[in-house]
Amino acid sequence: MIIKGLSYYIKRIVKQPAFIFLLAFIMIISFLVIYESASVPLNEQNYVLSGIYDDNGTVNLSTYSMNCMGQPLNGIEINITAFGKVGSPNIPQNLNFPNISSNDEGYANLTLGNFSQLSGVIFNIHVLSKDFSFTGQSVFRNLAVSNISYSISPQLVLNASNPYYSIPFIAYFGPSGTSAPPVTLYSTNITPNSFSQKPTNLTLVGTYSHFHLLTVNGIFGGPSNPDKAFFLYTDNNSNNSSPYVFSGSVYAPPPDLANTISFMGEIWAITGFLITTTAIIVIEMMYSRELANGTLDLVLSQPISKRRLMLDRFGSSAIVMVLALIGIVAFDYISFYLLSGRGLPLVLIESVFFGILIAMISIMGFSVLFSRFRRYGFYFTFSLFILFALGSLFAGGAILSTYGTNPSNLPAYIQIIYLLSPTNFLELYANSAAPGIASYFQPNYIPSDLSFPLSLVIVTGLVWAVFPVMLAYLAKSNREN
Amino acid sequence: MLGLAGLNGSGKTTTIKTLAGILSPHAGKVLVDGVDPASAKEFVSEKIAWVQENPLFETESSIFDLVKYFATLRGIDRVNLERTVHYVLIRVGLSGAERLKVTKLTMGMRKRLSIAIAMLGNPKYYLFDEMFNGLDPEGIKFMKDKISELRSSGHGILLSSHVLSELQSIANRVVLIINGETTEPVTLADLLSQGKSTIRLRVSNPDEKLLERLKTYGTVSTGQDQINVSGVRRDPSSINAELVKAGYLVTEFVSTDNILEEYFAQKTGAHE
Repeated sequence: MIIKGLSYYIKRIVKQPAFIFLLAFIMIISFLVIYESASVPLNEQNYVLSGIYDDNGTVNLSTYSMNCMGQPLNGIEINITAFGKVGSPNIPQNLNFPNISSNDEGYANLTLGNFSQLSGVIFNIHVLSKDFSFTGQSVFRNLAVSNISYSISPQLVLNASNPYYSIPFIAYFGPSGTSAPPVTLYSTNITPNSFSQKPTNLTLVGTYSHFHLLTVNGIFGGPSNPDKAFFLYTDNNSNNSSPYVFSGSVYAPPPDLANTISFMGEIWAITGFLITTTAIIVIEMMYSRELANGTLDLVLSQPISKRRLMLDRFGSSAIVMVLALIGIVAFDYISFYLLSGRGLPLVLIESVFFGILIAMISIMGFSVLFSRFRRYGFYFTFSLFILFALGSLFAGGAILSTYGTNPSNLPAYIQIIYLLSPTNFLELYANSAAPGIASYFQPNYIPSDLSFPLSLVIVTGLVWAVFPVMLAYLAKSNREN
Repeated sequence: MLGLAGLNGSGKTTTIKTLAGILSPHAGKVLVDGVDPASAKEFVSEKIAWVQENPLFETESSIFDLVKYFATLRGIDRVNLERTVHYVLIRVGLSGAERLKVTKLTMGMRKRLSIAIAMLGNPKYYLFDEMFNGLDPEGIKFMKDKISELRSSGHGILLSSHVLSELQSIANRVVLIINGETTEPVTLADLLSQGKSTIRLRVSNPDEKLLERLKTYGTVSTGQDQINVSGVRRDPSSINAELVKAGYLVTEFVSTDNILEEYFAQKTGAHE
């Protein structure tokens, strides 16, 4: 009898035009993601950002190691060498320092020394680790990592496979409170083995004086451009006796994430979000109408337990959603395999798991709601809204964990999904407001990396504004039916 | 068969829903064969079938699927499931329409479907809520016949309506809900003894004695070839029998009963 009841409701769900439409929509969206993901090379790259700063004459170095998703990497062995003119008289020399290793948060810090005179020194950071374990999200454990790129302060190494279109970085020259001498930016081709050598064949980029933020536009790196290093180089010659310390940091964003999308994170985020939304809409359409027009009363008048009633309704929803999820993931998996020649079995398992989890959250929410026998109205709509928020929060979390803290480099539709998460939306405004305030009080403030195009913010803001109205309309039309 | 009468919004449907275990009473207690539906809903629901005023079902379902689903809720086993579904559909005249979607059904067919669903599990009691609303004369006749059939087969019936003439024509006893309170049940015989009817008749051999005789039943007025008697306090059928017995050739005898309406008006006035 239970199976009959379940099958009756399963038939009802799958026959609903809204369900069919949403399923098709999910498949199209996920296929777009798969299509893009299939172009991601297997060998993901990792980055080490570094900063050297002067603390009352003590020169310190801080590095941050991350994967291409912006997640911290621990256990990255880093060797620091320097070449430049130290002491008086300024004699060019090589300096060596002990190796350091990044901690669980990705940082490795080292006090380089207290130099009385330092000028024109280039600090080179060598990443020694080629094979390391990751912390953070275990989901990335299986991604192959073989290429390690180097980001050297104040040099930025560009990788041949991922072109940059702009390079923002912040640099500050000279002791605090003093005006810095003009600084000339040169670029040169380098190889990792030449890091300890003074670069030759310099190409002039420009001369700047006392700048804080510089963005260099152009196409750097990429297949048609050999690896190239930028470094900041002062025109001051070796006879400059004034204390002089590089005190800047390269503000290097992760590579263009649009080209390094993680299939896994995408499928989590997109499918999880859309399945939740679908479950909500379908259940909303099915059950709210019953609640509104009294059909539910006829069912309630039958000699069945509340448990059976819930099993029929929510059990059938869960079965349909889980089956839909499995179907979509299978579709995505096959598409991905055909497009890239690679399979990701772990993705399949995890996506199904999270799909079930989301479906269960939906079911529990509706069960609680239903057990109160609320008439259709405010509480029902409000509960839907909360469920939507939970779903999008989950999706937002998945996106964030996948792409790190800089989703602004993501494709527009991913950004919209990210922004649809209520907490992310609030966070966005918090992060938008904070830099403005901070930059007012602190001229050297580094702007937040959480920045989205205004148009996307407006679009998602409208969605947030329209969503409750849409639900209210749906509720009204259901009541009228 | 107990009739439940009252104005719109008087609480007839609420009473029925409470009996069916759909709603819980805010105060007081409902007992079905001595059992409170709130404490033993499944037990009580097995005994009761509710037929809605405006039957609404999942519109995309077919009649067969829908009845089958409700049959499972009634605990009908797999072996007898389809046979039972066919049986109840035959009983309400929907045989042959099993595959029709609910959305295609007229109000009359929906009410028949509702009765078919109610018949599943052969419940002891039927609760009919405003059964005659929205039906054409043929539909009303069908419903009356079906209700009479159920009554004849020993089922207890509660029939609510605000159309008192229909209720009067079918219910044995009537309870009125007025301003949230119920009156004592009254039988049709009780009402006939108190109420007043109007008779319109045609007699092919009228005479002075006929008019004198009719005046003993009520107030007589004549027009063209018909005679009207108002304020009749007796059972109209007995009057007809007396006239025939006296040798009058009665070609037409129409009794317009409004005794329940009068009783209702009287009770309403008493409350006011």
